[in-house]
Amino acid sequence: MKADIISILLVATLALIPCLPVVAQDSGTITITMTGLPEISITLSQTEWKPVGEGTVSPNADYKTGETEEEVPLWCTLTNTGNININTFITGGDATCMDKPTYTWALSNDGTIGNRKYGLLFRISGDSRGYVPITKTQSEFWPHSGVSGAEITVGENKQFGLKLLTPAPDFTKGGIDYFSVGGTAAMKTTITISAVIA
Amino acid sequence: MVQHIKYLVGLAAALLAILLPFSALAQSFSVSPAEVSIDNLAPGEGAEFNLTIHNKGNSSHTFILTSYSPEESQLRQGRAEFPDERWISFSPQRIEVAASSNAEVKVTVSIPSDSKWAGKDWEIWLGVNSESSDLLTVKLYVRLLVSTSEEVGGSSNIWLIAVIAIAIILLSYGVYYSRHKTRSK
Repeated sequence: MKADIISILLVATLALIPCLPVVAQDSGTITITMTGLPEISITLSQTEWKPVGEGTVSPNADYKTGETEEEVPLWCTLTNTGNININTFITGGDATCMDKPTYTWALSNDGTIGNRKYGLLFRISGDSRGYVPITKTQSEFWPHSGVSGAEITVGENKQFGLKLLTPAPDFTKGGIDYFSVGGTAAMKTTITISAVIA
Repeated sequence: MVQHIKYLVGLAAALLAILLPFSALAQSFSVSPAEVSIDNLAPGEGAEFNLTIHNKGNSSHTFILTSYSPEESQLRQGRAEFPDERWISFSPQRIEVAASSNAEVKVTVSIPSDSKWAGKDWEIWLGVNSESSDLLTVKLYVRLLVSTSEEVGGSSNIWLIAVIAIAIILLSYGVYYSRHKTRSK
């Protein structure tokens, strides 16, 4: 009797095995579309900058990438070297002392300075906005909300420059403002320029 | 005292970087495709595709892959923010690419099996940037558009298999019962 039950179960199971792969199939077809081979790429003509002379800066001062206001935005050229139109963005970060990492300058979110708070601004050639603060939140480089739809086309470039605003002094002695780090200490920061298909 | 003096001397040298004339070339790279669209992906299922990174520079570079949820104003029309960046994975997430060479990174998108994720249109950006100590660095984004199907995958099949198993048991019992009854007569 038990043999009957087992054999019936086996026959029924074996009969249903071919059905299982069909049951296990997806209810629909997943489609992944990668139209043609759009390639995104940008190139920067400069990636480094020493603010002035040998790079030594004073508290509560501003430094630009050009001696005159006209020269400032000619410092770096961003070129769309891919084969699609792009929108671009810019993000900054806090500055850290390379010799003493605990000494930092926080990046201002509005271009103003304070105690251990510094400012970074960019200026694009021909941009009616003038100097625009660089913040830790990714914001529009080009195009911006005022020129909606004017993405950077293939081969097109944008010239821009930077302005650094150093923090207020950590202390003053004998009428001279000082930062409380060694005379040869170097501050380091990073600005990220990003791009996405328009 | 010496230590004290050391930190009170002079103006800070804010050397934001050292000028390297060809560093721009060193960061030159491209990513393709620039946009990927996944349609009809059922919650509970996954999809995979490859991104190609082309190092156009004259030295090898390490690239890092991350996901980024853009502001609503930057999304394609009709798209919503991708609910959870942890549903995206890269293999590998960090890759070294030799000079003038290509490398591929596998991207996997996995949607949890929950009916609340059905019938959605999302967008998330996949970022690729070169490890660099330069003042200016470049990050390139790939737009990833994900649309989920109305049906939930995986769980519905489990129910179907369970129904078939119960049917087998009932059928076996029915056959056994009828044969037992016939023999009794």
